[in-house]
Amino acid sequence: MDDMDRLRRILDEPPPTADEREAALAALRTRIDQEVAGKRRRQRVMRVGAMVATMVFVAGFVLVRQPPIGEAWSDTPVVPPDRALVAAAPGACGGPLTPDEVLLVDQRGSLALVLIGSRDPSGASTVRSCTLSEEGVGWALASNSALRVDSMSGSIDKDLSESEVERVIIDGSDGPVDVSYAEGFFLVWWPQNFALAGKTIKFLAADGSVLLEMPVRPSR
Amino acid sequence: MSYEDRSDAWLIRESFADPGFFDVLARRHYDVVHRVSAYLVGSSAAPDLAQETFLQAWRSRGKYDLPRPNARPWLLGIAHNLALHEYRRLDRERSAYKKEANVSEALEDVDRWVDVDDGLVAESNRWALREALWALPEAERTALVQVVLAELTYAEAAVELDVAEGTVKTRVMRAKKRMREKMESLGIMEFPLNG
Repeated sequence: MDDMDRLRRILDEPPPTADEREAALAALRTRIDQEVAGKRRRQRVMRVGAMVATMVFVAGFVLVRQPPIGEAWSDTPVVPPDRALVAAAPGACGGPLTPDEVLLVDQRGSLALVLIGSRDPSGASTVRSCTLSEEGVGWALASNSALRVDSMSGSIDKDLSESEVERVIIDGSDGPVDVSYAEGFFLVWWPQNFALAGKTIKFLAADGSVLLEMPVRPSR
Repeated sequence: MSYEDRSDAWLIRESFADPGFFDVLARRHYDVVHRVSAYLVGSSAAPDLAQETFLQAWRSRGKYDLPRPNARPWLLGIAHNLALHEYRRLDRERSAYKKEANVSEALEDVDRWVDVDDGLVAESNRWALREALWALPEAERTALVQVVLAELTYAEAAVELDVAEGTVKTRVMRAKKRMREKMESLGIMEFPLNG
């Protein structure tokens, strides 16, 4: 017997009996069952809460690059390729798509921002928008009034690709913004309670150089 | 259908859909976790520590590194961390108790002898060794627990501890040396346990 065998034997104490082991495993099962039941309860509460939370958290979007909508947007959203969402989105946003309209969807977890725009190359503005929240297996309308649509002042004459943008800042700091890219557009999300109007959004490259500056005008 | 031949990683992954698979995992490793818990905090606290280990594992299984088929090193790491908190709590309580009642001498008077296979060891020496174990530098203690007490291979411990195998060997060697010194100081090395 070497020293470490001796150490183990000294520290060792009687192993659990079969009955003790079964009792311990049964107690563990009970506690896990309680956790699972508790989690399900919390999820039910969260689903309801998410509908309220989206009203508060989601704010708006900024269309950075504005080519004619019909050129960049597709009839079916690429993000996310969720058929249920695609089917539900137009109806939830005021009615079915007309032949002149196209759809852009951006999703954040259980929340999706839906933009419906005109195909008219001269009408680069958003026609309709709404948010959708996942509820159970389908999609339900969370709000069609929580979004604030801010437009950019001046014309955007520089195209940006997703890969060259490293960071997006607001007036010199990171700010409470979140950025996604879809279908040739950058979507900038910010909290409802954050006053973006009057501030400047800057898109930075990896070397810190400013690729684009965009002052934000108040909502119309 | 038996799931005994499934890897731990498979059971953990499937437990998200059916918690019953976690039960298979717990049954598979319960005895080892209990034994190591007893090494660390004594037999009276071991059942609670073992149960808390599995409960903690259940809660944090989303962070489990699924490419690692064997979850035993992970479970023992959780047990060790929980034991560390428990040991510190017990140590504080014991220190406060001794300070209040000045009972250390009285405790020595009622020391009892524990039968360890072919010899007897004083219960107080068992606790002294446990304290020596906790007094080891954390990296060395963790390595000793994984390799010497839980009898994992150096390679398994190295993966769990995220260090090179050679580092584990060095830590175990140092920890063994310190524990040997403690055993010598307690007179345990000369005890008629020599086999």
